[in-house]
Amino acid sequence: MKNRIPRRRVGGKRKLTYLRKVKHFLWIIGPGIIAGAAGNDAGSIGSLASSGALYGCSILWALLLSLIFSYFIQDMCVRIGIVSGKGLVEHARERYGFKVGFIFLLAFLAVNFATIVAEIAGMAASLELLAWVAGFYVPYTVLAPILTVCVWIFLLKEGYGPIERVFSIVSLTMFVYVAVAFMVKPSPEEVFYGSFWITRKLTFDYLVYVSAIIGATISPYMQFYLVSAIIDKKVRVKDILSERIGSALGITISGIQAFAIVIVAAYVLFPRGIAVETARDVALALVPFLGFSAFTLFSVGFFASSLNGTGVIISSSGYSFSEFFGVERGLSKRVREAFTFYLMFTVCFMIGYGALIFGVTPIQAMVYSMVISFILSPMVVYLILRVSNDREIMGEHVNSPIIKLVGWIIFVVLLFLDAILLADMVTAYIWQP
Amino acid sequence: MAVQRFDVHSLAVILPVVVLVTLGLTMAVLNLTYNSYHETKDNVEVKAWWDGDHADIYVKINSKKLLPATIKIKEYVEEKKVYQPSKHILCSLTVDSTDKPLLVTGAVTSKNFEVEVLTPQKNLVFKVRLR
Repeated sequence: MKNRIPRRRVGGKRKLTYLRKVKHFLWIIGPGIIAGAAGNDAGSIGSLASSGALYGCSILWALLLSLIFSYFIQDMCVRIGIVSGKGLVEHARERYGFKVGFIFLLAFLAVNFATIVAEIAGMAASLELLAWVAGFYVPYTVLAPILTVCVWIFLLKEGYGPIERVFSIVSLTMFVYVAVAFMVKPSPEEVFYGSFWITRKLTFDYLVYVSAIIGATISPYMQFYLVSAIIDKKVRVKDILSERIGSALGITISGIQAFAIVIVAAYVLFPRGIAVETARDVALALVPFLGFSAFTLFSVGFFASSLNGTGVIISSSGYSFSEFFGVERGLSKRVREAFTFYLMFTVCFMIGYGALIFGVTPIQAMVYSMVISFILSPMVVYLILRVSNDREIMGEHVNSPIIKLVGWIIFVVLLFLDAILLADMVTAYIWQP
Repeated sequence: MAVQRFDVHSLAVILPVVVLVTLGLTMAVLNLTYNSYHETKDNVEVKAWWDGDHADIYVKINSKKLLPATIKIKEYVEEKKVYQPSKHILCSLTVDSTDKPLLVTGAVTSKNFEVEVLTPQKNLVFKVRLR
């Protein structure tokens, strides 16, 4: 008996230490996984499904390319957050002064404003679908303002934490697309060629969707959020490897999901000539395999993704704006004390809902918010590169020469695609009859 | 009893949201009320209204003699100048009870469409034009 007691104690301690280590590891890798998994928000899902429905597997190369880009960019953001302990907007102001820093802030807010339109539209559209499945009818145009107010009040009262904890998990129901992607029995050759070859002519319409996919995957607002989340968690430098693993895992998760969405749309909607015009059409791709329950699964996941995205965008806008001007921020402060913070919080909601009132449709919001994200992404990538290449800031965690080279290649490719898209936009505008 | 101090900052944050949301709700209700279609022909009632980016359609059969009824929705294609079956519906739509009306949401993204109600007795066509 005497011998058994200490053994149990030792075993218990060992188990506890092991559990603690696992828990600590999960806590460390959390932001990366969330940034990746929740990266497929309403805008991303809408853009991916629309692209697959219009261009089939021939658009997969853009997705693969953007996932590779995303891996390197997010890895740099992880290191910036842990090593420097400062947000990207703060770095921009310190590095380039107030004026240039302000331009970076405006670019960041522009992406956020465009994306919030998609998120609010996504929430309302998915709830309309969910109510319809449950046998109730609540029009989308009525749901949108009610949801805007409810989410605004909830975020003001409780902050983003509770939403992040619950809805990041719920949003994983969108993984139903992965199962369905196997059910559609895609041709391996078609997927392979689509992923590694550009088989279509780069027309303006095609480029819009290519840019929407790249914008959806890189999600500049997510990079800002990731850096802030790491700073908030006070992740230590010794945990940098775990955090980088978390980030890579997150991108892998979101990448698998994104590939599945495009493949399902490519094999179900594309052959039938169904363009994604409403949020319901995104779910429609699942119907031949899952029947009516597809609408329930989709709307639950889509609502969670949209709500998650709303929380990230609203919080990061409020915090970054106040951080830039060095004023009081945080939901624990009174409105009078942190007026700028609360004002930006509210402005974000107003722009999001205001655009919907004045005729922007949910799918338009989803695709074009990602195009705006893409157009502004070289600017964000440039800032990330300059900071992560700076040995004074990053110390031993500065980008290695190979990563530096890869980083600049990413920047040049993004800039090149941006230039083609913008040139095509101008040409289309000038030559429009 | 403590008196709540009037806080102009809180008002500046709350008021724009209240105004915008009230405006949005009013516009939505007015649009759903006035930009709608309602017609009853031979015990078949069809309602339709525009909801932001799609039309919602309600079909109710009031006579058991007309059951089961199959519903077909055709959208007007501007380029071809013809009505074509909506691509957004993958399964057949049927009404088999007078108590359970059919509500189709998001199946039509055009404001100009036709709802065909095919019953054992007769076929009815409802031409819907929304603004």
